[in-house]
Amino acid sequence: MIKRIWQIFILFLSISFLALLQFSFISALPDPYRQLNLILIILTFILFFLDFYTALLSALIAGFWLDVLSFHFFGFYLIIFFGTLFLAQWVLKNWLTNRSFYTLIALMVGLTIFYNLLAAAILSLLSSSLYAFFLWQSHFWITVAYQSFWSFLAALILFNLATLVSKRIKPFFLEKKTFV
Amino acid sequence: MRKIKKNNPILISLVVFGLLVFLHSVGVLRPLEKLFLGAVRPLSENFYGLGNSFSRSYQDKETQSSLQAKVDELTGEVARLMVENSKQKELVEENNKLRSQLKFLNDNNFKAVAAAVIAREALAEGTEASQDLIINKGVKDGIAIGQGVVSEDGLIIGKIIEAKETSAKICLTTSPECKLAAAIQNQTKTQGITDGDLGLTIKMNYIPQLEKISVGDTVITSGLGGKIPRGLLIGKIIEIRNESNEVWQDATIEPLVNLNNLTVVTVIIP
Repeated sequence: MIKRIWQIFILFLSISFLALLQFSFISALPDPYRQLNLILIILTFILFFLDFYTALLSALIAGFWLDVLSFHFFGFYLIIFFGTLFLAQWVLKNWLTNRSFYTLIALMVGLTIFYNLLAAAILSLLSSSLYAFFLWQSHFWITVAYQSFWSFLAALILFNLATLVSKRIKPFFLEKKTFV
Repeated sequence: MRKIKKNNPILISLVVFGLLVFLHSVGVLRPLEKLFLGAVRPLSENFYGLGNSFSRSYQDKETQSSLQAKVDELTGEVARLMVENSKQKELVEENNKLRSQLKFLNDNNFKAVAAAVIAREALAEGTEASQDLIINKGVKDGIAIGQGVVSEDGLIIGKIIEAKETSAKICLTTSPECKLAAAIQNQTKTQGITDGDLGLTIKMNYIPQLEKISVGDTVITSGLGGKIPRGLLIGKIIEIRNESNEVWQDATIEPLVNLNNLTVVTVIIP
């Protein structure tokens, strides 16, 4: 029990630190570096390599922090993080059932696109802005493209790092066995 | 009927989400939020400063030459001289109302609150081509929606669009939704509204054709209908779109401060 509490405490500190890093540090970087969606990458990573509950708890911590710090309505980040994780879990259960490199790439990039669509849809529904619908805006797609690129890169790095410490994941290619 | 599992994660998440939103809206979470925000404020300032210095070094690298640095330095010098010039013009024309930016504030009994930029609203902002700044001062410090924000040089960089107790959001003059009452420093003192253009420049539309404006004219705040005082420099005109068969003409204004490198700003409280 104490071990579990200690783990949650460490998770709380780590995710809080990452949320602050996303909010203050990454947002101050020049384009295209500021498009790095660190929280989404970490949540996907946790879901892929650990479990759904830990990912949900991380989403709760990150969402709470970003909702308190940002000027969107309270609950905005919680909704998009939870929504994205629910979709990810459903996809992992029904479609991408193995734990391969390609699965992680597909998941990371797919979730990045979904995350941006969901966030932009909520914002444009609530905004009284006179802007055109977000799907017709080139800026939206440039953002999605940059974020997808970072997600791809993150999948590449994280998967290779994970293969060093875990045996739960599968190799890149199926091994061709020759029988003598 | 399908039985709902006792520890269904989706159900738990929805309950926790609902509870958090409810507790936040009734204010129960406020002490906890204040405690958290107070604890992370120094860290967020440092993070933003670090990110900003990375940003600056990245920009410096992009230029790849000391000549460009010299051009930047001279551009800064030109901007400074233009501010001086603008102030001088206002001094003559408005009977010494405006002197230097700080003196101007003192003479008119404006209170100025210095604030540090702690973030740019970039996450999930794919719908807008603009970047808003978040500062570490809020309602508690006398900040309210509509107040003008100036850079260290005294150039107006935007206005307050949202304010929380300990933080506030600034829209930059280059943001399409940031509208400012403005006046061109020409013979007829042409007045109008400026707003941002693609997050890069500022535009001033609906200027009557009869008004004589020229490239290089400076544009200042007009002080009309708001909490922003007159005479703060917005920028200079770099392009005029003027068709003889049109009723109106439009001007493109270049801001004289680099809006990407702001770390400290001043909010003018009238």
